[in-house]
This record gives sequence, C-alpha cells and structure tokens, in this order.
Amino acid sequence: MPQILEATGTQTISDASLFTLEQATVSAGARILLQPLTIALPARRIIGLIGHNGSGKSTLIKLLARQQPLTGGTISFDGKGLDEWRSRPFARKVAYLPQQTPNTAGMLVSELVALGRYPWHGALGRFGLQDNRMVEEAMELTDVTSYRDRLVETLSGGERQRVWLAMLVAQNADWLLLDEPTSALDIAHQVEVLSLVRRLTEERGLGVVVVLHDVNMAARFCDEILALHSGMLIARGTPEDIVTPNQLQAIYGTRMGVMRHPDTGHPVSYVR
Amino acid sequence: MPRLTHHINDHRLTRRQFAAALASIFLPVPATAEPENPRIAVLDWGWAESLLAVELRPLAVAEAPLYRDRVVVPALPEGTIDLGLRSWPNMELLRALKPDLILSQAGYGVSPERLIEIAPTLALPLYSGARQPLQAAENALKEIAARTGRDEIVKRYLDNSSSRLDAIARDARNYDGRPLLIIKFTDDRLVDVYGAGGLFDDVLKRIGIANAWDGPTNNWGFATTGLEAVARYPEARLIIIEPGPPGSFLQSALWQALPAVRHGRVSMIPPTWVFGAFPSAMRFAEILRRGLGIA
Amino acid sequence: MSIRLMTPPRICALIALMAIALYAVAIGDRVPFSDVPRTLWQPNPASFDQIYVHFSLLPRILVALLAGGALAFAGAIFQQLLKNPLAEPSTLGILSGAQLAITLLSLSAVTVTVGQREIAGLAGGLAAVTIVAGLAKKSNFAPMTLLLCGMVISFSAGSASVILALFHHEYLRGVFIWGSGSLIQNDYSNAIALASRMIVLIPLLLLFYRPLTIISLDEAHARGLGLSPAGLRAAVLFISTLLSATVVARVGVIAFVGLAATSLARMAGARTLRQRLLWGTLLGSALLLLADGLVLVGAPVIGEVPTGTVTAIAGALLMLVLIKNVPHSIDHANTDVLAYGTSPVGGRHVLAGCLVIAIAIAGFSLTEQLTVSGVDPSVLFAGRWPRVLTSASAGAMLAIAGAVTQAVTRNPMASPEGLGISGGAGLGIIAAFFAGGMVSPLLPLAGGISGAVIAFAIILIVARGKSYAPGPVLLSGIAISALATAMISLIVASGDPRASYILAWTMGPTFRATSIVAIIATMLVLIGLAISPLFRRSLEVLPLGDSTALSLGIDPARTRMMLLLFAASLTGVATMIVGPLSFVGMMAPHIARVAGSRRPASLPLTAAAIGATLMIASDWLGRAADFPYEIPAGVIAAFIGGPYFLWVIRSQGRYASRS
Repeated sequence: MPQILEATGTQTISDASLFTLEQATVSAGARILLQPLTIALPARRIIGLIGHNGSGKSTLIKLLARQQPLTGGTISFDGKGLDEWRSRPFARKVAYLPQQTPNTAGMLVSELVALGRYPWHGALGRFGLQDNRMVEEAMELTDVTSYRDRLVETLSGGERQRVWLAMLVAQNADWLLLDEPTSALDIAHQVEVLSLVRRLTEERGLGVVVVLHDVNMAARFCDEILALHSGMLIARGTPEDIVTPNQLQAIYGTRMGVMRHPDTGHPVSYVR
Repeated sequence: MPRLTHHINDHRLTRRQFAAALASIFLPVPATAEPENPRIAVLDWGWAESLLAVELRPLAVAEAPLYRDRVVVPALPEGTIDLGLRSWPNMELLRALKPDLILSQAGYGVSPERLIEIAPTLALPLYSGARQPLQAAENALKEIAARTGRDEIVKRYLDNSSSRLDAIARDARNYDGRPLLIIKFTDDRLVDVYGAGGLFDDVLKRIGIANAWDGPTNNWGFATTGLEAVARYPEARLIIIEPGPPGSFLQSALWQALPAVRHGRVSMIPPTWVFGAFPSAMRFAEILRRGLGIA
Repeated sequence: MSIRLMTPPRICALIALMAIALYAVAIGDRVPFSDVPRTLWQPNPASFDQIYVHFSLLPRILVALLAGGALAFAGAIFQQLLKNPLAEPSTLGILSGAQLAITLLSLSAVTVTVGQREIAGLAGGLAAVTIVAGLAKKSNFAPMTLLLCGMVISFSAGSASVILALFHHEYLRGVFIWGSGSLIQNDYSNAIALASRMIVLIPLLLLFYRPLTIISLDEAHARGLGLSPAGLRAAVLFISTLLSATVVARVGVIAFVGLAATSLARMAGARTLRQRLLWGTLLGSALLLLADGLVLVGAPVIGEVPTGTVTAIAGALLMLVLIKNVPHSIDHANTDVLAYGTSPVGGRHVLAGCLVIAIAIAGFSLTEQLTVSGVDPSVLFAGRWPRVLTSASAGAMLAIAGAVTQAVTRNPMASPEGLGISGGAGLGIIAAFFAGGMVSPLLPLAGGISGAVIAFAIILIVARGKSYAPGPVLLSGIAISALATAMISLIVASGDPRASYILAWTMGPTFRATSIVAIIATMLVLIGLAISPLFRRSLEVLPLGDSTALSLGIDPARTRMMLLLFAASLTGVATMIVGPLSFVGMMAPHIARVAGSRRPASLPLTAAAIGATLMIASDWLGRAADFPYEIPAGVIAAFIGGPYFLWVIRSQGRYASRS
C-alpha cells in the first residue's frame, strides 16, 4: 500500500534505520544475562530470536525496546545511541509488544488502538483526521474493525492479540519488537498472527524482531534467525542454515531431526 | 454511657434555652429594660467565672455543660446558652445572638479579628508569655470593669480579695514553712506538678508559701512527670488535688516509700479549676488555707 | 560493618548492651553500685531510691522485655501467615482497634479496671483484624490489599479516637497517656500479667509451627498436603491477636517494634521461620528495652516522652528505609485495573446530574434554618457561603487528586490521603503550634504547607529508586501517617489546654473558612481543572503498565512524578481545609466510575463534582448534627468514607474471584 507511505509523509525507511549492537552486555549481580554481543540488525525483514528458557532472547528484545538498561557496551539505532533518543521520537520508530499484555478493563477496542497514536500527537496535540485514518487502517489491516466497539477484555486470546498488533500498527513505526506474541495462542491463531506480521513486513516494509518458542514457526515465517544459548549468540542465519540437526542440538541440547515441509519446502524439525 | 448521654441531653436543653433566648431577642423589649446588664458572650471559663464574681450574668458561655462539671463554682445561672467548643465556638450562633461584647482569651481559640466582625471583642491575656496569670487575671477584671461600667463593683471585689489574701498570708506565718508540691494525678503513674507560670504558683507567692517545684514548666505552668521526680523533694509537703490515685495505689510500696508519705506530710484538697482566673485563685487560696490547717 | 558480620546473636547482644548501659546510668543515678544487689533482692523500705529501682525500674525493664518480645513474636507469626514482610500488629490495625475500644470504654464507665481494659482491647483488636482479614481474603491476602485495609482500619479507628478527644479531651487525657505507650511501672502487676499470658499463648502458637511453614507455599500445595488454610488462618490470627491486644491493654500502643525486630532479624540472615521467631522475639525485647532506656535517661532533659511515641517515630523512619527491601511482589502486586462501570449513562449525563445535586445541597445548606431561626437570611448567607464554597473546593480537589492517584498507583482503592501528604501537613501544623504557639493563624497554615511539601519530598526520595512504583509510594504514605497519629496522641496526653484547638486545626474544620480562603480555594480548583486535561492521555496509558507506556513514548517514572506532584499539591491544599482524613479522594472517583463515567478524560471532572457534593453535605451534617458543637466536615466524610471503602474492597474481591 504505497499510498499510505505517501499519505503519512513522515515515514521514511532508510537503510540507516537499523540496530547496531557493540559489546552489548546485561548482567544482574554476578549473573550474566547477555554476553557481550556485537551485531547489526537490518531493516525490512523478520528476524526471529530462538533459544532455550533463560537463553537471553527476552533480554535482547527488551534491550532493543529500551525496556531494560544495558550494563555494558552500546546499542545505537538509526546512527544514534539508544539512550540519546527522546521517548516519543523513538516510539515513532520502534513499537514493542510485551510478552504479557496488560489488563485493559473498561477499554474499547477502538480506544486501545487509538493509544497507538500517542507518539505522534503527544499529551496535548489534537487527535486529528490523520490519526483517525491511521487507526481505521490499522484496524482494517489487522481485521479487528468488526469488534471495534467491544471491550477488549471480552475478546478471545487470538482476537486480543490482533487488537494489540493493531495498536502497534497504528503507531506506524518502522520496527515491531514482539516478545513471544504467540505464546498463549492455539496453532490456528499462531499462524494467523504471524501471517499478519509477515504481511505487514511485505506491505509496509517494516522491520520485525520476534521472539518465538517454536522453531518450526520461526523457520516458516522469519527471514533470518538468531539463536541464543546461555546469553550468548551461537548461530545466525537463514532458516535453512539454522534448522539443521547439529545446530538444533547445540541450541536446545536435545537430539533433533529435520525434514522438508511437503508443501512449502521449509525445513521442519522434530524431536528424535 | 453516662457521660456521653449527659452530654447529649445538655445539648437538647441548650437548644431549648437558645430558642428562648432568641425569642427574647426578637420580642419588642424596651431598650432601657436592663441597661446595667450587658449581653456578654464568653469563650473562656476564666472570664466566665470572673464575670459571675462581679455580679455580671454572661449571656452565653462556651462548653457551658462542661463548665458546670469542671469549674463548678461560681455556678452558671440556668439558661446560660452553650456556645460550642471553647476552641471553636459556633460562629453562626454567636452571630445570631448579637452580643454586646465577646470575651476571649488572647492567643487561644478564634482570632479576635474574626470575632470583631460579629461584636466588640475583648481578647484578654491570661496564660501568656508574661507567665503571671494572677496579675493578668486582675488586670482583666479591671478591663472588663472599664468596658461594662462596673468599676465600683470590681474595685470592691478586688479590695475584698486583696485583704482576704493578706489575711491568709498572715495565717500562713503559723505554717511550718515547708515548701509545697502541688500535684494532680493524670493516671496511676504520672502526675501534673504545678510550678512557675501557673495560677497556683502565683497564689503561693502572694500568701508567702514556697513552692518546692523548681523544674521547668510549660506555658500553662505545669509539668507532667513520674513519682521519682516528686521524691526529689524529700522536704516538701504533698498537696494532692482530688481525685487522688486509686486506693490500691496508696498501699503500694512505691507510694509508701515517698519521703512525704513516710512522714505523713500529705494533704488532699478538693478540685479547683486549674487554668482559671481570679475567682479560681481565691478559691485555691481558701482551700489551701483549710487544707494546711492554718485557719 | 559488613552485613555478614551482623549475625542475629551479635546484633541482639549489641542492642541489649546499649540498653543495659542506659539502664545502668539510670540505676546508678539512684543507688550506689555497692547497694545494687541488695536493691534488686531486698530494697531498704526507708530508701525511696532503692524502692524506686526495685518497684519501678525493674518491672519496667521486665515489661519492656516482655512487651517487645510479644509484639515481635506476634509480628513474625503474622508475617509468616499472611506472607507479608510488613505485617505486624500496628500495620494490621490491631493496635488502633484496641485503642479505640478502650477509649470508648473509658468514656462510658467512671472507673475502668485493668481487666475491663484488657477485654475491651481484645474486642477492639479482634474486630479490627477480623475486618482486615475478612476483606483481604477476597483478594487472597494480596500484600498491598492487606496493608491498605490495615491502614484504613487504623485511620478510621484513629480518627474516631481523635474526634472523641476533640470533645472530651478533659476526660480522655488519662486514656491517651496510656494509649501513647508509656512503660512507667509502679509495681510488678503488668510484668506478671504479661508473662502469664505469654507463657500460655506463645507455646500455643508454637503448636502451629509446622502448618505455618507449609502455608508459606501456596494454598493449593498446602491443601494438597492435607492442611486447611482457612482454619489455620483463623486459629493463628485469633491467638496472635490475643497476644498483641494483651500488650496494648497493659502498656498502650507500641507501634512498629514487631516490624523493626523481624526486619532486623531477616536482614541479619534469619532465614527460616524458626530463626525469625527466635531472633525476632529476642530483638523485639532488646529494641524496646533500648527505646525505653533512651526515654528513661532522656526524661530529665526532654521531659516524659512515652516510649510508644519513640518507637512510632523510629518505626516510621525505619519503614521508609525498609521500603527499598520490599520484595518485588509488593511493588507490582496490585495491578488490579480500575473497575470502570459499564453503565450506559454517558459521562456527560453523570456530570450534569452531580452538578444538579451539588447545587441543590449547597442551596439547602446556605438557607436552612433548622438550628437557628428568626435570623435574617442574608446574615445566614454571609456567614455560610465561605464554608460551603470552601468545602466544595476541598472536595473537588481531593476528588481530582484521587482520580490521578488511582490511575498512577493502578489501584482503585488508593486515596490521596494515603500518600502521606495529609499526614505531613498534620505534622507540620502540630510543629507550628509547638514552635510558635497561637500567635497567628498564618503560622499553622505555613506549617501545614511545609509539612506537606516535606512529606512529598520524602516520598519522592524514597520511591525514586523504584521509579515511583505504586507500592513504595503508598507504603511511605502509611509510615508518615503513622507518625502523625503518634504525635496527635502525644498532644492530647500532654494535657495542654490547646489540645482541642490543635486537634480541630488538624481535622481541618470548614467553619474556620473565611471569604478569602473560599475564593482562593475555588480558584485553585479551577486551576486544577484547567490543568487536568494535560494529564488526560498519561492517565489513559499509565494503567496499561510501564512497558506499554514506554513503548508509546511515555517515560513512566517522569510522568508518575509529575502526576504525583499534581495530586500532592491538590491534596496538600485540601488537607489544610478539611483535614487529613476524609476518604473523599478515594470515594469520589470510585462513585464516578460506578455511575458510568468511564473515560479518563471526563473522570476527574465528574469526580470533582461528586467530591464537592460529598463535602458540602458533610459540612452541613457537621454543622447540624451536634449543634452548637461543630464536627469538622472531614470527620463526617470519613465516617461515610470508611464503610464505603470497606464495601469497595469487598466488591473488588468478588470481581477478582469471579474472573
């Protein structure tokens, strides 16, 4: 939908719009949650983070979202150090969905989605026509328009997750950072949500970093996979590179096999 | 709950009295009916007793029911209107009564600036930085006299009181000269001791008897302390303002060991309003005279 | 000193040594060293000093040891049972409940025996703990809810005591002297009574040792291991309350000793329940002994200060320090989202309705002639409009502050009064009276404002490390308010004739209002209302949590601070007008939500109208209920607000258990 890009006028996705980590480290007391990590994350693609529990994937995504402070090293975004960004300009560039979405008692779907416009209009600015249109489009895109006037808490898990995604879409950022967006969903809804993310990347040219538990889902939807183990990046590559018996053994510490998806040809893993 | 109900009944009474008083305001009474009895609203019990002592009937007194319970004498006449708390009198009632004069204690309760909006106000010092309540009470009487045209009566009252105090002071020469510790029990562990800056201390000075307590006292001339401080004055005679401690306490080893108790130098005297003005001082002097057996 | 050097036995020994040194000074002051053994066993009846040491100081030492130990033991049990490191007899409302019951008893009977006092204390303490536990049960004893219930019970009981004192301070002085926790003894009766009750109750509680260790797991596990959590809770709560109430009845309110002792024990490494019970109890004894030793040695210099006052001050300060050690679960325990009504009535209709009611009540209050008759209406009006307008303004300010506070703390039961601002203002007023007397009404006003500002600064400093998270903010409020309560007890106990005046000032009587005050207050409300739209969007986003706020470009810490500053300013001003405790700040936004004002944008406005209505009505009730005596409007509102609060917690709990 190129006309959207034109209409907003403010959205310019440049190649500079990327995360650069330089010896980024997080430790809590004596425990190191993330070993020094030097890496660059390019825009306009879906990057999956996988790893065992406590491997540091959540820590990494929270770092990118500025939800957690660094204890060592630097991260820059768009050529500027993360902590040099002011809150609202950053929120216009990067949207984040936490692992557990908060309780929203009393909020209507449309009201929640409209909150996504905050970084653009701020505390005092008028909620203008432009904002209104972005909200409508976001709801359209995520297919939540039909229950716009329902209370968020009355929706099912999958519907609710789509509403939150709609809020992120309305935020109209270059990047989506999603922390296990599918963890509470059944298979059908997982596919639904991840397809939506895929579509957003393709239609709007968004960059996405997504934490996923299921390596097969990661293989199916991501352009690139980062695998972490004990706070260390141990592998990076396309699904083809990562989903191999040897790599999976290293990542999850259990013997696994890989075969081809009969329809798409994606690699599919299974426990031996 | 005898006290609480008592309190509430008093209010009912007051309201009826108040209605009567209001009726009297709005009935066409000739302006010259009682020229020599001005309508005075009193916010401090010290001034209430002072008025009564010089034959002026206060129209209204703050916490009148409690006055009858605590100050007792001189008795408030029936029909005296209750003005509410001494610290926060009912301003609306005060306004409705339209008194000729409001008497308050300076530095206590509602500020005179607000009272003046309602009626002419005399805010007289009693317990103040000067720490001479007896002198302040005498001055206040004179001021009230000047304001109400009662100079004659007040002068007579003060002269009589003065000669009475002189007489008591003469009697006091028969006293053995032991300094006094005037105490009141707050519970069975702590006592208030009356010293410098208090009315009782001023009276003792006036009649020439020494007050043993030389410790610090607060703005109102007393200190709250344990019995061990009392024991610090072994030579003193104990004057206990009733009610004393519970009977069981009087049998306790600690009480019995007090030097004054061991040597039988303890007298009980009936209660007097502790923070009063001139009449309270006179009453205390008379009570003390009887209590010390120097009559 | 490194923390590892501080083992429980060492700390205990250190504190005990300091206390013993102080008592040695006090005894040495009385009796020469050579006479001490004889004095202890067989004092010379002819020597007052020996008798005093034997019959006053020795029992005093015993009572301090026993009372401190009992309170700390009860505290450790409460903490284990309720899984809340800040539970103790005072934070659960037991001490204030017992005190109120004993105050009522003293007013209703001419003489009160110690036995009667004990029964009354017991009844009051049990009533308080039953209400607190009954309410907290609905939320499964969530730590924050429990503390809030305890705080409200304490506040309500405390304000009831203060209002009784306001009208009866002449009679109640003895009660308040006792209530402020003086350890002065004249014989061994209290020591014997405490010891005999502890000998029974403590072993009885120890019978529950094993079940208590199991209950520290969650309830499902406890049940799986064959335990009835409800039965256990009831039995243990009952016996521990007996233990605490006995101490209250005998020596008065000694707040925070249990908390201080158990926290110290835990910090020193007492990990298991056994260790905490043992060392907590010993530390409780040692700490109270130390506090009392300080009071005893200091008495000749600073006068008789009740030991309970010292522990309240030290305890409140300690609580401010402890807040940073409060486990994570408490900071974020209460993420109950505000219960917005789903009534179809729109916010605008609610607002209009409230305004109509407010104007109707104001009109009635301005013109009625029920208590005075035959007075020219214009005179009545001239006397009344300042207080009506002032009440309305104060109610509106508290309501706006309440709406903001509830959004910031994400707690529908939060009340701006609980921020400690009000307590700080009260303390400031009291301090101003003691410093400058009654010279000018401006002095207490200045005192109140500085008190509120200082309290707020303390809260900011304490809560900063926690990015102004809701839990710590509320806890600092509890600490400061406890301090204010202790100071009020002290004033009544002092016998100063100004007590009722000072009490009335701190209760914020609206009848004090002048036309200037009324106009200023109204202007402040208008300013507040004008500013509040600036916070509208923050109020929408903050309840969704820090992650969401951050990801939308809102700095949660800074925004919370700004909002708190706004709420605190309004609360501070309102406190000067209607006193520290009205619960209007809690009630008004809640009623507004229930009535259907759902949107954060319209909520402050509707709440303000409701708050104004509540306060105008309270002002009138306070004027008419006990004519010619005026009951401060804030107190009347608190009498309505306390029960309302309890009802809200009940229905909140039901929500929680349903979903």
